[in-house]
Amino acid sequence: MKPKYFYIVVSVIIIGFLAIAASSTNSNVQEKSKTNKEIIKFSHKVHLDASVNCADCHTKVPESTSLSDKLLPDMETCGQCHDVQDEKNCNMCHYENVQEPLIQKTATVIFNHKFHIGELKVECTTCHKGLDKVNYAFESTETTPSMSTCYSCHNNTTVATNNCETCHTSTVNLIPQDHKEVSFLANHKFASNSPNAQCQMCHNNDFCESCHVSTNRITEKNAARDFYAPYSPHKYVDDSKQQQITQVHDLNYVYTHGIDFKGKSAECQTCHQIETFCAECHSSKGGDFALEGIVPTSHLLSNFVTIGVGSGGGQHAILAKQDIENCASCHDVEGADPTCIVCHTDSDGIKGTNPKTHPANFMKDNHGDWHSDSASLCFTCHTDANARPNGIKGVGFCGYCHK
Amino acid sequence: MKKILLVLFLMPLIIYSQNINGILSSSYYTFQRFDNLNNSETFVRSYQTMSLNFNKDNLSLRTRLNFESNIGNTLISDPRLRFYNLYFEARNLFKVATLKIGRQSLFNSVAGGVYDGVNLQVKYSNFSLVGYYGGNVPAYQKLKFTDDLSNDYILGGKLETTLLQNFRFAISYVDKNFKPVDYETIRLSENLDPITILILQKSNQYKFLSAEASYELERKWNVNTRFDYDLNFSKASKFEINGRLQATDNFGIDLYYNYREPRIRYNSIFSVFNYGNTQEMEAGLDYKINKTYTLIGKFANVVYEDENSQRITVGVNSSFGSLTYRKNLGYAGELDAISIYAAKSFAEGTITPSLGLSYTSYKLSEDSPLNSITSVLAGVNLRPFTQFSFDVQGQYFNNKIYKNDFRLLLKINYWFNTNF
Repeated sequence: MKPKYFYIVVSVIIIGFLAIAASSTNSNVQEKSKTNKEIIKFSHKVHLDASVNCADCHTKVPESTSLSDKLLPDMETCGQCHDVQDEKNCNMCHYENVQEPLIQKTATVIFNHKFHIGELKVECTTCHKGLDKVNYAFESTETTPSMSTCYSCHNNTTVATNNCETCHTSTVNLIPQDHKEVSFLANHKFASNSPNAQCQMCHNNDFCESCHVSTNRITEKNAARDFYAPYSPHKYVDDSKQQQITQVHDLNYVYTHGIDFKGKSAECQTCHQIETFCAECHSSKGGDFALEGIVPTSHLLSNFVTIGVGSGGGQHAILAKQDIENCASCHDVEGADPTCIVCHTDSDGIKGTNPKTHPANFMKDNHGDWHSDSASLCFTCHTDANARPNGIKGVGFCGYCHK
Repeated sequence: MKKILLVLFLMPLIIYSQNINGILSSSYYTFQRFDNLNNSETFVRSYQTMSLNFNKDNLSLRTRLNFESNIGNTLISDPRLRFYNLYFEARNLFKVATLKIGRQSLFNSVAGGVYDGVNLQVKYSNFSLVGYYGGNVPAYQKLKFTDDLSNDYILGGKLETTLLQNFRFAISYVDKNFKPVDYETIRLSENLDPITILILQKSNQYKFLSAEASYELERKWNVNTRFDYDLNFSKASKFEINGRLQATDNFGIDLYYNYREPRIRYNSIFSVFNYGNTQEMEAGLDYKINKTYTLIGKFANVVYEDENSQRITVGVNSSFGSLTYRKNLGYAGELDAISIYAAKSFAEGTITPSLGLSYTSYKLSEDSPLNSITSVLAGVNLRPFTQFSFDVQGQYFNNKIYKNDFRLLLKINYWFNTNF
C-alpha cells in the first residue's frame, strides 16, 4: 500500500472512532434527561420525616458490592408499607398510564456499599447528603457524593488509597474541565499554587515527577551507544494512570523540539538540567562534544563566523545576541571545553587584538566570577603562564594590570 | 549486601505498617536503532517500575523506583536502578508541620529536580513556610549521596500567605549549585606554544529571589504574576503575568506576557558575552460547545533582539480525544503539525482502545531543509480485573532517518492496597 493511502485509511479510522465515541457520549446525555420524577410520585423528605430508614426501602444496598446491582426499591418493597394491591390507590404513586421501572443511573465508578456500610460503618448520609430535604434524589446537588467527599478518606494520608483505579472504571475520561482550557499546560503552575487547588485529589505525590523529574547529571561518557531514541527517563513510566500510556512529549518530539526550545514554548530547564541533558543526543562519537556534535545548518554557512577585529564576528555573533541559550544548549555541556575559546581568547596578551567579547562596561561592576582564584571564569580564556606568584610582571594578559 | 540491608530495613516497616499500597508495572519496548544509515539493531528494553507506600497514622515511607535493562544487546551501564524518590514523611507534627527526609522532588520553575535532603513545611492559619536543603542526585537517580555536598547542593525556602481573601502572596529563595566536571585542555602559552592546563570550574550557578502575587475570583477571573531576581548577576531575570477571564460559563479568554533574560549559569563562559532578552505575548480563547467538546485557539508572538517568532494553535478537546493543528513561523523555525488522539473505554472500563496520528512538516531554521514526520499509535488497554491491566501499543514512525519504523510496547500493571 502506498504511504498516501495508508495515511488516508488511518485518518478515516481515527475520525470514525471519534465520531462513534462522540455519538455514544451524546446518547448517554439524552438518556439522563429523563428522570424518575416523570415515572413515579415520591418524596424522600416525607419518608424520612416518617422515620423510615434508608435500608427499609433500599433493601439490597447493605449487601451490594457493585453499582451495577439494582439498588432502587421495587414495587414489592413499597408493598411492605403501601397497599399496592388496591387499584384505587395506584395514582398515589403512579402517573396515569405510566408503569415503567425506575431509572437507575449507569455507574462509571466502582463502589462497594457492603464494605463501606458493613465494615466501615459509614452512615448513608455521610455520602448522600441533602436527601432528607428533597423529594427526588436528583433534586439535591449532593445526592451522589462529590469527589471531594470520597477524598476525605481516599487521600495520601489515610489508609484508603487514592489510586484512580480504586473507584474509576476508566481513567481515560477523567480530565476535569479546567484542564481543557486553552492555556492550562502553561498556567498549571499558578493553578497548582491556588489555595483552592485540589490537584492531589487525582494526582498522587508521584504524578508531578513523571514530567518534572529528569536525570540530573550525566557522568558517564555520553557515547551514542548509551542513548537511543525514543527513550527518555520518564516517557514510559505512567504511574497510576494505567489506562493511558503517557508520553511527556510526542513521539516525534526528538525532531521538532528545537523549534519549541528556540521559540520559548517551554522552559526545558524546568525539567531538564540543560547543561547535561542536551548532551544525551547532541554528543559526538567519543570526541569533544562541542567540536564534533550535531551541527545546525546555520553553522555551515560561509558568513557564520567572520574572523578579525572589526569584522563583527558574522552571523554567529548576531544569533548569540538574539538567543544565547540556544548556543549554550550545545556548547556549555559538562566537561567540554567551550568552543568559543577557539577564537575568543587572549593568546598574545596585547590589548585590542582579540575579538570583542564582553559587553560595554564589562569591568565596571563585580557581577562576574572572574578574579578570586585560579578557578575564576577569566582564566578559562585568559590563560597566562605568568599568572602565578613568581610570574613575570607586565607580560601577557595579567600584565594588563600587574605591571 | 545492599539488598540484604534493604530487606532488613523494610521488614520491620511492613510488620509495623497499618497500610501498604502501591503500583507495579512491567514494560517491554522493542525498537530498532540505526547506528548509521545502513546498519541497525533491534532492541528489547524492559522497565520494571514500583511505587510503594507504607503508612502508619501520620507516618509514611514512600518510594518510586525503576529497574531497566536490555534483553540481549546489554549496554555497558545496564542494568540501571533509578530511585526517583525514597523518603519518610511525618505529617501533622504539633498540628502544624510536615517533615520529609530522604530523596524527594522539588518543583520550582527556577531550578527544580530531585535532591537527597530534608524538607520542612509549617502551616499555621493563613501562612505557610517551607524550607529545604540537600545534595543533588547523581546521574540516573542512583541510590548514592553526592560526595561534594558543599558544591553540589540545593537550598531554599518559600513563605506564602492567603491572609487577604482571594489573594495569594509568596516570596521564595533558591540557591542551586551543580558541580561541573573539571577537565584538561590545550591552550597557548605567551610564546604561542600549546600547553595542557586544568580548567577548574566553580559550582555557584543559580541564586534567585522570587515574588508571586495572585488574585482569584473563582470561575470569574484570575491574575497571577511572578518576578524572579537573579542574585548572582544582580538583575531581573524574569517577569510574567497571566490572566484569565471566564466571560461566560462556556467561554474563556487567557492573556499571558513574559519578559525573560536568558538562563545562563553564573560560572558559564556564556555569561561574559553580550546578549539580549526575549519577550513573549500570548492570547488564547476556549469555547465549550457542549459537555463533550471544547474548541481552543491561541496565538503567541516572541520578540528577540531584531527578530520575531509566532505560534498558532487551534484544536478541539474532548473527553475522549483531541484534534490539534499547530503552526510556527519566524525566527524560531517553521512548523505545520496536525495531530489526532482518541481513547475511549467500553464494557465498563474493561477495554480501552486508543489511536493517534500526527503529521508534521518542519524547518528548524530559514536555512534548513524542509522535513516531514508521520507517527501513528494504536493501542489497547485491557482491564479484566480492577487491580490488573494490560497495555499493548504499536507505534509506526516515518521520517528521513526512521523509514517505516515499527515499535511495540507491552505493559502489565498491578496496584494494591492492603490494610492490616
